[in-house]
Amino acid sequence: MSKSIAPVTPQAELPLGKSGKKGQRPQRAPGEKNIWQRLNNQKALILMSLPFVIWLIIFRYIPVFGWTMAFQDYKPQQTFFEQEWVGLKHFQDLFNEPQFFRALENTIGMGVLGLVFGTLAAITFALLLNEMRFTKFKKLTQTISYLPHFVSWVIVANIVTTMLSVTGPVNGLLTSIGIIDGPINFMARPGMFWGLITTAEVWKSTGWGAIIYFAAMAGVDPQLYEAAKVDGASRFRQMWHITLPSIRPVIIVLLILNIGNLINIGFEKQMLLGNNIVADRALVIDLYALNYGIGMFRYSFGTAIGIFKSVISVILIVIANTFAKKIGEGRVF
Amino acid sequence: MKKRKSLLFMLLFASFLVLAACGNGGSEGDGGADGEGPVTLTLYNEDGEEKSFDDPVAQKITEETGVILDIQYPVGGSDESVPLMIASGDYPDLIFAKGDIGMLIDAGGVIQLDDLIEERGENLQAMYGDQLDRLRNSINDPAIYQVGTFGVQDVPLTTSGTFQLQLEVLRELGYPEISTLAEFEEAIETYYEMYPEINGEPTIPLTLQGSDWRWLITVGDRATAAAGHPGNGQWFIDSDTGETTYKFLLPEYREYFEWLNGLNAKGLLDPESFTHTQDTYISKISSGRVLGLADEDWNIGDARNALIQADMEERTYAPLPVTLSENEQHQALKDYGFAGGWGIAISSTTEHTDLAFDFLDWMASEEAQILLNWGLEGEHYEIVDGERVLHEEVRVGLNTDANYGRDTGVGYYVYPFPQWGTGAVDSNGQSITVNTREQVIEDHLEPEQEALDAYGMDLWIDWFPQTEELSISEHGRAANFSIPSGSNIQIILQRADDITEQRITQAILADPADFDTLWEAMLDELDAAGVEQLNEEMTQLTQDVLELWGGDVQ
Amino acid sequence: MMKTRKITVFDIVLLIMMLGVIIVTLYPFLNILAISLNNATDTARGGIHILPRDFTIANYTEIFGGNANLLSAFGMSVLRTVVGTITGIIASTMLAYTISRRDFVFNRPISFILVITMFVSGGLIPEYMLIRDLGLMNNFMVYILPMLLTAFNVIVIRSFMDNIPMALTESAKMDGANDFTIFWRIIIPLCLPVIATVSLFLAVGQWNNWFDTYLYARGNSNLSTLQYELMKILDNTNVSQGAVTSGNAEFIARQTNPQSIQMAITIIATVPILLVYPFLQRYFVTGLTLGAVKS
Repeated sequence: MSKSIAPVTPQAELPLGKSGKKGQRPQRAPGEKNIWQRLNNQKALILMSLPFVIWLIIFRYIPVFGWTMAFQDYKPQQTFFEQEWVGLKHFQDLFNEPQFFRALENTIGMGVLGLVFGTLAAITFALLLNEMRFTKFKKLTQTISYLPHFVSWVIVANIVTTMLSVTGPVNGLLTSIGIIDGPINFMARPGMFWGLITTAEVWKSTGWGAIIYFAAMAGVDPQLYEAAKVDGASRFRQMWHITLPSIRPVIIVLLILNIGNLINIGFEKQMLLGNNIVADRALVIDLYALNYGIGMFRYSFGTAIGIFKSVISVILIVIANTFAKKIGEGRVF
Repeated sequence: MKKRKSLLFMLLFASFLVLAACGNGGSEGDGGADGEGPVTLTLYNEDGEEKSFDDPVAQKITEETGVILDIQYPVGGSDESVPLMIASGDYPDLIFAKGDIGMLIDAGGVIQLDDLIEERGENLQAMYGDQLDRLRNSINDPAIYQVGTFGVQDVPLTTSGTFQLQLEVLRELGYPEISTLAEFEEAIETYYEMYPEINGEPTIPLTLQGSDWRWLITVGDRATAAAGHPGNGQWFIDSDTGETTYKFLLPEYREYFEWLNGLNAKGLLDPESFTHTQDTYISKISSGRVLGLADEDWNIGDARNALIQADMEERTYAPLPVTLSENEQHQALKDYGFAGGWGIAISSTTEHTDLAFDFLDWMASEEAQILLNWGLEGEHYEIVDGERVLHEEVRVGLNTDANYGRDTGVGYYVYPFPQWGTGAVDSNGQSITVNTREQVIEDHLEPEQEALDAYGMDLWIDWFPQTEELSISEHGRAANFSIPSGSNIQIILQRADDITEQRITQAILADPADFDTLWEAMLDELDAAGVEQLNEEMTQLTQDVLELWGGDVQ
Repeated sequence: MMKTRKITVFDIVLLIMMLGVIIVTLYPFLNILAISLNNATDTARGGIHILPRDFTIANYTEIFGGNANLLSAFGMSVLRTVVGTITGIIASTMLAYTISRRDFVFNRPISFILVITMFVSGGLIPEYMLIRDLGLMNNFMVYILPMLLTAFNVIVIRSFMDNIPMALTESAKMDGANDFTIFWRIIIPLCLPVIATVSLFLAVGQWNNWFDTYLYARGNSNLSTLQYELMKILDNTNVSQGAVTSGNAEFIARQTNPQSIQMAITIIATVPILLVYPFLQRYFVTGLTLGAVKS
């Protein structure tokens, strides 16, 4: 969105996001210089980033050498030069596997649901809690809400199945207020599985996910609220027109990163909450990779799946990033 | 602000000093190195747990062999340990790798033991006798790389993995004969009608635990038991020809699951059998309201303990020799012979090859077997009238305290080392293990004894076809065959298992009218997954094992 | 800071909603606590919610009693968490600052290679070999170096820096401040909320990690961490599938119910790190940073 000076909203006064939201900064600092001069001027910046670039190369890029495994019939007992090269065989195997596409579909389905509802829940929670007056209570709620993040999925799965069991409290409640006629075995409904996972995920991660938005809200200039109050803006209007726009850059950046991570949803919750009845909806890529790749010590096949996921992730994040830049809403790179 | 910053850096600096100190503490001593004092051997135990080698039994082992074991194991159940071991070349001295041994052999990480056994393995030779061939690796590489793990002469005194009924149900129904599925069904149905509630909660006629890997033991393997087949994992093996079939293709299995389907339709099967977690499953059984079970006994130990603690001994279970009909023989007491397959290997990088081997050989001696099973004379047992008798507190400890074995070492080092087995006797004719017929009888609960008396039996195993009536397996248990990682068999088997676990579950829960259609559809899916090839390759593997173990090779 | 205003309906509704959130999120923890304080065998019967039925502290004494190493492991956990968080936050903010500067020549290339690392990993074996070849095995640095940076944290910090008014840094430059001074004197104080947040992420990541101890530091008992020791205790309570197929089934059946021990372990493992958050909350007060700098 273009930075129109809209007098109605106090947005114009916002220092946040002023810093040239988009990539195009009109001029460079004092005068255009040639590259060497600029490098010379930026010695401090280069010095500050160089050690970490080296770190990235050593700790994050050198191990990617392991990707060669995907093009070999890798055996751990052989040295690199003894491995047998097989080209794209493992990728072909992968794409010939009908189960894999089902896993891909489920992964993306649950990934999208988790992303949408997870983000919405965290932002809503942060916004509402930010409006809370009673400071002590506010801090208490904040602290308690992040507890579920520390509970392992094994324990969560136990609690969820107990709550949702045929004789459990949820069925009891729904039956007594007449929403359903008889108890539903929620765990045995393939159509409900994605929703179940998403609900559990939202419950577990909302408080944790909101922390970053709390931090962002701490950066909002209080003068904006004062000005809004003078104008007689309601609390909702303040939320909508001050708080939310102020944290928008953070929201966008997190969205872009999470879109890149759409496919990396793990397998633990699906494995623990899933069962043979809902298996068609519960199989995800990481579980498939475990059962048919690493679990059988098929390193090459497992690596091929990893590469496939990386490629998808990079494509997704580049698209998201380009899109965000196009509409003028921040960037990741 | 400034002050805080410098504080931060000091903290940082101090930590780096500490870590430098830690770094130096790096390699811990290898024990007394050459000649003097005991030597520390590292043992990778895939089934291990945290344990220091300093209990009375361990001290005695060190005294006799000069070996201290440093036991390593995959913490948190990590599967990656053996591949990392191979990739890095850092092997421990002794390796118990279970099914991963094949990778270690390919990698040259473990040594052949044939010559050592011949030259200095008196105890191992004596222990394995004519079963020594069962240790051999494969038809193409018939060397011995590992020793141990399973008993050579196992004679069961208890069963596991049968259908079970609450003792109270048997009592209420006047101790009927129950040996077929129909009789089992009738018993739970009758009792269920009489008592729709137990302790104020609804009665559950039969429950299973099919929501995780336990599907294999409470659903899949119970079909095998009902069919009167021996336990060979996912396989049925024709013992004459070695022909091996993926078991769910067989009509007996269809018949069993059709029965479960009928049970479900009648409301006799817990509708949550395939969705509840293990903890919920155990809590249902512990509440005393589950009439029938089909599970391995070790999977329900917690529930049994809870029932006993809650004074509901009559709600514990009796094992039943239930099969599809009168025509099958229950195989609970089958003798599989020495199972082979798994064992402890010596790494190719150890500096103590002879010592490590002598240690393993000593573990197979009579002296060692008595020590490992009974503990120390005077400390854990006495010899009364020429017979070993466990101290009372030791027996109680072994029976009631989960940590007793780990704390004292009594019984702790039997598995996965070479072991004589539950049926073995020492040179005086006494049982090598602490479990004797008399002891099992003594341990019976009161209502259990009542039931046994009513049926006129001493032990529950008296109810089952006896070991002598059942042939000895010439190929051990197919579940222990070492299947090469990443092979066709492994991949197709995984696919087939994925299909059967899902489709059979769905068929059991379906309307009985749909059962046949679903079953046929599953067979088609299995066909498409390559089950025919699976059978062929597995048959070849079984025949290889039969040939290898027959001793004709070399 | 906020002047007292009258409590509106909005506030009441909000209060009730948040009470709901508290109930829903607190329950599992109370449940875990109750089970951890309940007799292990009795727990098998199920039905325990927020109060223990058969109270005991035996599950805790069993954990502490069986492991003399726990205290020093706790110390190591604290140390790695403190050092790892401090080094991690310094590294992340420095790198974030350089790539937040749009005039920086290498801004885009560095951002790109950084973000890519979020989605690309060589797998366990190459990483293991790298750590070994760098000589980091059984060295404290193995807790610090490989976890120094995560792309996610750096990008999040940068997104905050992007919002700092350019005027502030420009004017500092006019006064002759160099890039490092700007970073230290202006950027860092303005970024305190996000630094607090990322510190929390780093601290929790450090605290919870036991797998690197197992992979890279198990040969040095001085480096054992609380999570690793607890993981080993948890293993001791679990039934091993392999052991049960042997003649030792009778021994296995006598194992106590692991559920109560498991819950006690969860409590011991998480309570120390839970205490970190309340200390960071003071950085989340609206207007804290800008107000401080502007005045």
